[in-house]
Amino acid sequence: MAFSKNVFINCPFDNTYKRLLHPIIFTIIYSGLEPKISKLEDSGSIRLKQIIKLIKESKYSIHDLSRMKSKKSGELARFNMPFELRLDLGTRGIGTSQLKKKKCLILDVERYRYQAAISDMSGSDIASYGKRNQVEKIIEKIRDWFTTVLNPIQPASSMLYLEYSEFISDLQIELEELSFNKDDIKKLTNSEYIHYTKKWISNRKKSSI
Amino acid sequence: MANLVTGQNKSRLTRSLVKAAKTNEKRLHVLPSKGKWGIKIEGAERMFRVYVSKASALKVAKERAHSHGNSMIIVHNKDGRIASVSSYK
Repeated sequence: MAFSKNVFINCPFDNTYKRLLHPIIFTIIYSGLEPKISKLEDSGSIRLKQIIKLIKESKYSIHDLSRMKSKKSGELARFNMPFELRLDLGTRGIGTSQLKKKKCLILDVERYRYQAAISDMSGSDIASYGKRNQVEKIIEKIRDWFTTVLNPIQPASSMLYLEYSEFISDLQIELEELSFNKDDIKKLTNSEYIHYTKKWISNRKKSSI
Repeated sequence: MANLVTGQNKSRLTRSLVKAAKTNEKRLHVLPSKGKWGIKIEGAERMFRVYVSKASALKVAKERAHSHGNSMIIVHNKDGRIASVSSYK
């Protein structure tokens, strides 16, 4: 897929975050773009090379920094996401003319929290998805960002949320038909989830023409 | 992690999803909407009705299922996934 269609996603990859990762992937594909995610199974050095490759191949990137603050005393915060954000911004600053066109969206639960931890982020688009109705909000924030960096004409965020809800229920129902538990959806790998999302959306769009 | 759906199952699931992508207007969805609860007729681009409580939305969805011959009510939880499915004939 071309540089101008790729969206690098930098976010947590645990099962808890999948409730937000899945609508992020859905919104990207629905908008005609290609989600790019690093593979978890690769070793550290290979993974870093792969992340840099994905960053260079992607005009757009979405960074969720919500885990950079530990939740309880003694727990370490996660710095993978701020680290990958820095790599992305660095690539933009020292790269070729194509890389200078890169656009990034920083997501967090609180709008200005990241500034206390990381400075020099001016020029990046920031959006907060709050602590309630996060699935609806994250779809809305990404959709709104696409109206500014991609195309001002995008489907309404409420319609995207309803489409996502139908997709996720179709996926769960069909998984159950194959005798899987409906919670097994969380065990799908990212590439499997992307495959099924693409199939559903392309046929959904065909059937609504 | 081993893939959950591989080989034959992957093809079956892909085929089923392609079919499921066509809307089934006999299905009703009850789901969170901006802090409230809405009823959505499958395929519609907007909520059919919105209520303050989940219980109210579910009650109206059940009434509509009986009066309009809707075959299924799918209740979603706050992260969008299915909490329960009820079938009506």
